[in-house]
Amino acid sequence: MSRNGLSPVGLDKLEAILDTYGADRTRWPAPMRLALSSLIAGNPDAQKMLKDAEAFDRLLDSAPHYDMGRLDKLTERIASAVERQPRLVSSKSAVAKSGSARWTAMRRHHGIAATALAASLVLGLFAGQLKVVNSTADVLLGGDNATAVSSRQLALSDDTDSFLEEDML
Amino acid sequence: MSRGLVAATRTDGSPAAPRPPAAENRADEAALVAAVGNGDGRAFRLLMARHLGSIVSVARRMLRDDAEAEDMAQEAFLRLWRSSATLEIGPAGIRPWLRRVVSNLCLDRVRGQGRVTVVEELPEVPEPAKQLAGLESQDTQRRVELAMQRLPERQRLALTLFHFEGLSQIEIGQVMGVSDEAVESLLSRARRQLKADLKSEWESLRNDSEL
Repeated sequence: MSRNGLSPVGLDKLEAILDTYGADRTRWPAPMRLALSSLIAGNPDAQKMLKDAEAFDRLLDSAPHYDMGRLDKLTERIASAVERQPRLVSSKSAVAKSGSARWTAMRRHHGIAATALAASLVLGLFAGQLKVVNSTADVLLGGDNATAVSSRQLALSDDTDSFLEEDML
Repeated sequence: MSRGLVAATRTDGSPAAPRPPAAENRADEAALVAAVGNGDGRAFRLLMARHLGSIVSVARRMLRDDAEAEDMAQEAFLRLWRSSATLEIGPAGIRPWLRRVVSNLCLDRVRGQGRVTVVEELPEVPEPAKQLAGLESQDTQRRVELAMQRLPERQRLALTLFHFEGLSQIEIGQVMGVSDEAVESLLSRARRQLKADLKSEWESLRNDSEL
């Protein structure tokens, strides 16, 4: 074991590290950096390997890069493309953003509800009037049976009302 | 070029703006993304100014074509625009998400095209002596690019993210959805393959540095 508590490492380990991470020692895993530091400091072969790896890194750096002169045009292209894009909207932002739209929609819904209510009232009145006309006609046309039936219906409806009241209590 | 700088350089060879330190610019990115989620075009442009160069560079290295790389970068940013309202931004900002998206888009594109056919080297044509140095440099660039293109796509992506984008092993694992060990293996195989492919160019550089 070495003084730093790590196993001594040799040139093979250095080669493996250079093959993986390149010559920039700041990119090596910290334990390896520490373990290999004395080898690099004192071994000419290790220093040569490091120098060769630096040359290889320079070679990789010579690969063509994206032409940054095109970036402004690309930025404008994307900016104009987003104007035609739909977006996912979170519920939170939807509440914040579409408040006025929702208010308009609510007003529209209330208007429909009010119209429906008014229509049902009119229909109810009309139906009620029809019933009055029918019962008046029954009375006018006479017939005990008709009266009996009407009374029974009234009794039944009274019972029903009382059941409903009990339920409510 | 030292690691940790943004990959792209200008075509005249001057380095592009250095990549900002990890903590810088990141704290406000959650707010910026939230603003984009509410349709804020200025916030979107600010995020493009910060990250588009890096994202298109990754795509360029994967696809070896400026126009295709731009298409992929555009799609990544359009996805940001569409889904920003639902994105959870971590302390590292939006860049890891963008890298992940563009990497997957590029991998899908490469796989969709089948194996990349590497263009055969052009026959040598005699050139005037004064242009020789420049041509040698261009030739080296082309050979490096071809060698990178020959790499399997996942090795190429790992190398791009590590060597050119300055990402750590852990970050690459997060982008690619693989373990640290797998990243190490991808990097190692990529560099060994490139060393074999670029042996003569490497030898030449080694000799130059010894002089």
